[in-house]
Amino acid sequence: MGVFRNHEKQQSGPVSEEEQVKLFFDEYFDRLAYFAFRIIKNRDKASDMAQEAFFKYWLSRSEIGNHPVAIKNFLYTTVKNSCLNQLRHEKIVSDYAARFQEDPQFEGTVMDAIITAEVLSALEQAIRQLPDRYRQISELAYLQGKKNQEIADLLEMSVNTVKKQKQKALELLRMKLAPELLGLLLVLSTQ
Amino acid sequence: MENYESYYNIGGLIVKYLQGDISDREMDQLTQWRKESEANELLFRKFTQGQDVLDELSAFRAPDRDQVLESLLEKIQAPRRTSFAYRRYVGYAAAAVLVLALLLLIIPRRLQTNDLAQTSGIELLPGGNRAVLILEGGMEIDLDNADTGEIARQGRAVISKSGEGYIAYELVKDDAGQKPADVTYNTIATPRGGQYRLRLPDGSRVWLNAHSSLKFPIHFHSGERRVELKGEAFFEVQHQPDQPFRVVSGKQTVEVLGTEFNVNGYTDESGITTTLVNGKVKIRLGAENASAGGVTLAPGQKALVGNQSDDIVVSEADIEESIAWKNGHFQFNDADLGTIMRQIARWYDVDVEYRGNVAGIRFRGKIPRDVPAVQVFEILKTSGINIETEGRKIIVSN
Repeated sequence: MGVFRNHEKQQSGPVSEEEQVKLFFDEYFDRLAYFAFRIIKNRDKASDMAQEAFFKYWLSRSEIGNHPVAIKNFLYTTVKNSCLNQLRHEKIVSDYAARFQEDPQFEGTVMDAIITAEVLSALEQAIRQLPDRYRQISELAYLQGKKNQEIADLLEMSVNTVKKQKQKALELLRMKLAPELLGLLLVLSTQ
Repeated sequence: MENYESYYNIGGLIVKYLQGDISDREMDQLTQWRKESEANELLFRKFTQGQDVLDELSAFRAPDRDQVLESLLEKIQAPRRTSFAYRRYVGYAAAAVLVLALLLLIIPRRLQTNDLAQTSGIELLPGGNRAVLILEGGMEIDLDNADTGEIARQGRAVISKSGEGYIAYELVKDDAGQKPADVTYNTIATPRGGQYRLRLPDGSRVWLNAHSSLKFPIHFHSGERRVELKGEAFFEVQHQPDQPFRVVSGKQTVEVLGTEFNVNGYTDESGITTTLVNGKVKIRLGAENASAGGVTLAPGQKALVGNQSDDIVVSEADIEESIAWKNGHFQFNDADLGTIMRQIARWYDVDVEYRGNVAGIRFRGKIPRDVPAVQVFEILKTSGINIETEGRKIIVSN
């Protein structure tokens, strides 16, 4: 739905708060929601937790500052704690016998989830910087997971062209794939 | 507060490794980390197995991110809406408008239109995919009623409706290998309240707005690709260096090599406005290609050829505003009431009458195009103008 912008300043002036929020959101939201999803396995709740963490950050942003490490520490920690509470709550609800304790296994999951979130986020950014045609195809094929035929229909091109452009996009991203699995990938992308 | 900086660093190193862009020292750091534990090594391997990464990538984005962003913005901006200056300009009344727009979001659409339709009589529905294709020889095909698939053939061109609101021209190979001698033209025309998309034989794509028409040859086989436009269209032209693409609209010719641009040539506007999004175009006066001169546009610029004069005035464009129609919105950046109502008239197929003094009002904002007219009117009314409907006539007053 369209929303009327609350323009109080001239466009040539400093960036409006709404724009700042959008920039901040675009930079960090997906990875934080993904991180939460990896831990609690529920998309809706994951988004809620990430949103809460973003709101909290926004209220305290002058204390936290804008160094990416500080921002990410705050966001990841806040979301992690919400996830922990959620899991504890679920354990209580599902009648787990043992009292919940600090779990080294949980920390392992956290590491896995943060590193994966960071890597995927960097790849998404790399895709956004591709030339238009390959960005579009990567967006549909790799970020939205659409099948080749769907993409062919959407972009009005043949399935062969889709496959070729997908391959070229991977080349442009310079994605190093294990050679023995490259063949597997080509087979799988014929679906 | 935990410090996960080491994780961010490892993430960065893994990405560099994947992209083949890692220094020796960084590779050492990565190898060190992998050796620290079995878990680390397994995590590393997960990334270097191509299919896993791509699978995860498709699960990366939050599906509801747009709603979450809106909801977050609401929360953040909520406390600010305590006071606003009451002025004619929508910009300052935007806070009230925001409330209304949000209310419109919350209330189910059917409820709104029922309540309001009782007072206005006819329900003014938004435009849709409607157009007529006129083949050489005069035969007309009603495109909205046509089934998808092949709908006609003309010469070597196969014309298909490939989806809702979209037709494509494809050339088949001629057995004789001969190129036809004379040029066959087809025309696609949209009524008021219509829009359509078209793929030309060279692969270029055209978005046609309401109350517009495009006349084009079914084969592009001379030294140029030349089309005639009435009204408004957005073009995405395939790059073909030996065949410049030319759009003739009224007294203006736009010459293009390969690019994206919008031409607004409605005769009830003050002139013909061409907005360049990407690439390069040259604007010339006159419909023949012999004349020299003209003005070259850079992306982000627009050219206005006035009705009354023969000057070409170049200025900075608001691209979003110019092509908002193609993306399904109306967008106004300090637009006057007349400009807005003319767009609404073409899209909703209504006539507009002005009463009283509504001259000085200007608007800024974005409204979706796919909603019944009453919703658009409600938003406009909050700026202080009054809108009444009598059947298909809109009366704007203050």
